[in-house]
Amino acid sequence: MYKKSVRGELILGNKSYTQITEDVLRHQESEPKWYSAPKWWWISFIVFFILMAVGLGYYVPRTIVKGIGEWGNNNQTAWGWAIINFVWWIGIGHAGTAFSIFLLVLRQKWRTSINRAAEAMTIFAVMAAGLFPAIHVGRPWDEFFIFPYGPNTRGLWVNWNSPLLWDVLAITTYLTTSFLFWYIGMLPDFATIRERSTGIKKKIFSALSFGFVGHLKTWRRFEDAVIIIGGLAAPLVISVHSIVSTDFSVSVLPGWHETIFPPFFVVGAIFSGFAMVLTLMIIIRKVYKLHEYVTDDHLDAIARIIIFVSLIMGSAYVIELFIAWYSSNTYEKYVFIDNYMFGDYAVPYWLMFIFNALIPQLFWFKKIRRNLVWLFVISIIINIGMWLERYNIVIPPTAQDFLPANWSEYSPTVVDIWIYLGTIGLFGVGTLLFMRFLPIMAMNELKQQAKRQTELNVEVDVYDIFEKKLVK
Amino acid sequence: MKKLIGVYTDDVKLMNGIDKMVEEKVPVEDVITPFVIEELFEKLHIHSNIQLLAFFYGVMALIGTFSGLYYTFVIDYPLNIGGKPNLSLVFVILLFVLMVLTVVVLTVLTFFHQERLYPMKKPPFEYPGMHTDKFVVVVPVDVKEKAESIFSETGAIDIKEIEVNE
Repeated sequence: MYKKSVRGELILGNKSYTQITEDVLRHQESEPKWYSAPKWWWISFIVFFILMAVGLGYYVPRTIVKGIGEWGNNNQTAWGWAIINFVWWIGIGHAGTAFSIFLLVLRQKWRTSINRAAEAMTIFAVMAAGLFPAIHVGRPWDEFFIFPYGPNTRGLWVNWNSPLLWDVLAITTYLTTSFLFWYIGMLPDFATIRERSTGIKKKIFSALSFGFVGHLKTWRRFEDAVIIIGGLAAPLVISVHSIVSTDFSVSVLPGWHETIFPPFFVVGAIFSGFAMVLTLMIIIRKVYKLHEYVTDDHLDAIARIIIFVSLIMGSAYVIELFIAWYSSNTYEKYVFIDNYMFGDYAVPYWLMFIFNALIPQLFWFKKIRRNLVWLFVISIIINIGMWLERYNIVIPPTAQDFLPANWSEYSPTVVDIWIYLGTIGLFGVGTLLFMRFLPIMAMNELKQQAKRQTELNVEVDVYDIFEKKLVK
Repeated sequence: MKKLIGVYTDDVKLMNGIDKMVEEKVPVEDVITPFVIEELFEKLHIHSNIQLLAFFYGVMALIGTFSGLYYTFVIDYPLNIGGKPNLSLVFVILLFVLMVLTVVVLTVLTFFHQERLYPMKKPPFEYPGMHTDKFVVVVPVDVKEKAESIFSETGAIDIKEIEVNE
């Protein structure tokens, strides 16, 4: 149960329902033309668009035409940057689910002003992630082999034992589920925009809103559908990232062959997801002046979760080191103690440790949790730290494995770097278009929240979902 | 079909109105609100079968996926991978993932079908502000007098007869 006396109000300024609609849509409705937007929007859009155009418009086709030889991958490090970036983006893509769905299932009311943006982020991050395995196979035109459609055409069914196949299925399911959850959630808000607009905008939103009207029965079915999708997506997020981790842990490579990997990856994903949500929400709050909806209490709550998750990350790092030492396995000890702690990869390893396990501990101080600049800087540091974590997982164990005679250095090429920048461009362009054209906050849920807030002051019956009855 | 509507701007007044209607046995056909009001489901006994259907889809998806996996991996082409059993725990992961995919897609389609929602559909009924801050209560015209008095007594801002496309 949400206690106002403990947590403070979720929407400040005693907003009426009309005010909530106006505040959330103000930045869209104040722009007379579809192409008019503030200067900062256009500048960032152009920058991200250029990154996307060069990275995805030029370097991806070039990779497809010329092959993976263009990348920095070599015999030892066959996975390279592509898989670092894949895991990094998938991790960020867990923000939507972590936020929206875990908090929905746990009935955490403070999700309401943040969930929509987090879900949008998920879609773009998962799209960016999906690109890497798709081009990493080298011959994307043969990708249909992954789908089972009868043995007579190829003489064999797909290998259901392969985590790579599970990965394809899990990520496709995750993208579909996230997209449907996001879209269904937006239907009532599309209807609001439809009602308030004219001309071509009205036509577009009429098409998008599917003729949604908030009938009693519609809301009932809507609630049920949302809770079903949410309830199924919550365990899905755990299975998706566990499956990504099995890509690594089923191999016999020291540094990868670990039972800790599935929970470690899931927690890491939630960690980077929350950090990215923090980054994005601080920007949205600042540029659209929505501090009455994304209050200091909201950011404080995210920061508290980050402390907790960061502690789990820290203990996972320490457990890895301990087990490597305790196992007395030469190769394990080499990877963790000689290579990570004191060897060639000590710098990225310790940076990762400091960025992910130590710096977020600053959030124990209330002053830092309530300071936007600190929050923003630490959220960026965590994102960098999480990228370094994936770097440490992918590169050092492969570059220096069993036979020192085979060891080889890995460094990314220009193509690698541009494809990564291209995905950052895709994410940026997607997020900016979302901010400009779609409802950035779930207005219908905010109104529900505002109603609850009034109920705390007025004596009325409230429906208790656990008791399934009305209570005073 | 002709209907009588009463429009509220305050949800506390709306709830009072609904309570009164239930008390005086005025049949409330529909309440159109800009957001979910769970108390109304309870008061007007609104149920949906989506959760039950979703469970059914889940069971069907599990059976379907298991049969598919069993056929391809055990009956049709039992591949020998180091002597490992063909019917293995691997199935659990695939069963879960494909079950989620099936249930989510079918649940969404069921919602769209039950509500007859599709792209480009024109909303069957519109009242200015009904998606922003207006709560519209719909009652049949044959209880007009009783309903009108309850509407005006509980503070509805607009009471009128309208034509609704069924």
